[in-house]
Amino acid sequence: MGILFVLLLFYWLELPAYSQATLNYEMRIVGKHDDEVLGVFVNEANTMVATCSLDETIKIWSLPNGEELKTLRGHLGQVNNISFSGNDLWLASASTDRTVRIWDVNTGELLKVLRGHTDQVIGVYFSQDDSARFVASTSFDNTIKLWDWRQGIEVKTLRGHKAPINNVAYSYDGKTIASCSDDKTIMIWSTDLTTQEPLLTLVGHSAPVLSVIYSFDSKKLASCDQSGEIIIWELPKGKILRKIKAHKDLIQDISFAEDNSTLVSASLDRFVKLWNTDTGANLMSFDTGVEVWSVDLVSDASIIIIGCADGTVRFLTKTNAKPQEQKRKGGKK
Amino acid sequence: MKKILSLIILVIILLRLNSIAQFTSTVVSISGTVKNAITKEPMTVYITAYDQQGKKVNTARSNSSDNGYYFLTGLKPGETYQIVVDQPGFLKEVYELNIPKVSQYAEYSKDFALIPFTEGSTIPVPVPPFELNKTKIRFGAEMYLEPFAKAFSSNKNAKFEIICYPDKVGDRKENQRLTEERSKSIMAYFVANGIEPDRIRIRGNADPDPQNPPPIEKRAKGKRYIGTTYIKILSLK
Repeated sequence: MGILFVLLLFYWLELPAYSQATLNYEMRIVGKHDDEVLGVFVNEANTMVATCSLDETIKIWSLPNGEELKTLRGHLGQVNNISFSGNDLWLASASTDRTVRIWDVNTGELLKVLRGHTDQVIGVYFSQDDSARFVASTSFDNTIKLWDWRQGIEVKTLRGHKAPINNVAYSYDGKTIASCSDDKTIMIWSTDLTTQEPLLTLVGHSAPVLSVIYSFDSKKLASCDQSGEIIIWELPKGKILRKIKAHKDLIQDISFAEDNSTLVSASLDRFVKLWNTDTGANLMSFDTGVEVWSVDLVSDASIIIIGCADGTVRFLTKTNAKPQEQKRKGGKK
Repeated sequence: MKKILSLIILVIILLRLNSIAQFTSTVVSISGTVKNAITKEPMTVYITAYDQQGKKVNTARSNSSDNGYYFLTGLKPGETYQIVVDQPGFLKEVYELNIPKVSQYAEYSKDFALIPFTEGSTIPVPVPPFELNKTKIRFGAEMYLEPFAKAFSSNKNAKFEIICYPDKVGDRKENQRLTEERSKSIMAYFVANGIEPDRIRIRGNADPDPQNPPPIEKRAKGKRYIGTTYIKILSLK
């Protein structure tokens, strides 16, 4: 009986380290904001990553080197989120100052200030087609606005959530946008300019939903919440494919890799994790030693970029070392 | 040759007329909601569109029983309009709408949050005009104070109080100093914009705003907390 107990204990302790986590990453700090980093977004070509911060700035960094290329200033409040356009020419940012701003990525010039929300703007996402005509934004005013940013005009306002909306994502096929809210639901909306009602309301989370993201083939949607749970949804029907109890603290950000299966999650529990969304397997679990607000990755998941509560921007780079050797190389506890 | 040339010119004229006709016959609408900026309650108000010559084009009424929804139509592509919401007891809202040159019916969106302007009302400045722990009005923040300056300029008898709250719970003496300095900065802005100093009172505070306290929840969005600045209308007579 004692031997059985020891074997069970060994199995329970060792299984996650040896049979589940199969990938290994090394971490390095590439630079720093003056305050907590709230958003990370990698461009389509995997040549740049943008970060935004409580320090009211946006920074653009090179990939894979992590050289700081530009700092964009102009917002009158913390910058909550950012998004590159699908053609990589522009960057949209959302701020507590109630504006969405559009920046020229190459020159750093502020091209447009979009005013219309009546409370803090929390989420922003550029349409991912080559024209990049539209930008979607969400706000604590409980609305989602779709902007024709060149004209500086709101083409439609979507209402339906019953509480502040935390984030928004544009599908890669351009047909829908998804929003997630403190009301614990996700809504799927048509980008068709005349449709005002949600196409779907996804119910499954038991805590406020903090972020939502489409897979590149637009056939899956992933969402994460304040309790540390991730849900993978099948589109267009909105059926739950999988629930993953992923972290011990809130998950502010998630992102898909180009294989449409691998998902990265980052949490205030200080861990960054990779998941196979088809099987639910945990592919990697990395203790960064610092609370992580935001995450994105290059298409093949060879570099994961994280934005941390200590203001640092860190790259986790895939290595060939064995998984059990994973340890943080720097950062503060 | 002459006939062909005439024919081409005729076709061009017809095409041009057709496109002009399209633009002149195409109608554009604007819709949205009107709410009280403080209570968030939907409101029933009139929304009026004026053209660039100041001529009234159309008026719509929002419906408080339908979430403050309004629908204003009869606008033309390629034109610029002033959409005005001028409701007694509220600051006047003016929104400049540049309509794109569309060739078919289009509908755009604009929500209004009206700021109450009545005796005794305490109005938060929508976006904090200061940086963290700073007392100087930050660059670009004047636009959030401008509607108040305009309202006090046109209401010559209005008297008001500027109330500032600190950014955190902490040294009460320092908080008091910081917020009094902030109040003085706002007062200096109003005086520079033609408001007589004897119409203005200022008040600092040693403790954070009880109506809008610093967040205690661990959330990224809205995390940066800067003490609220209020304008309290003392009298309008």
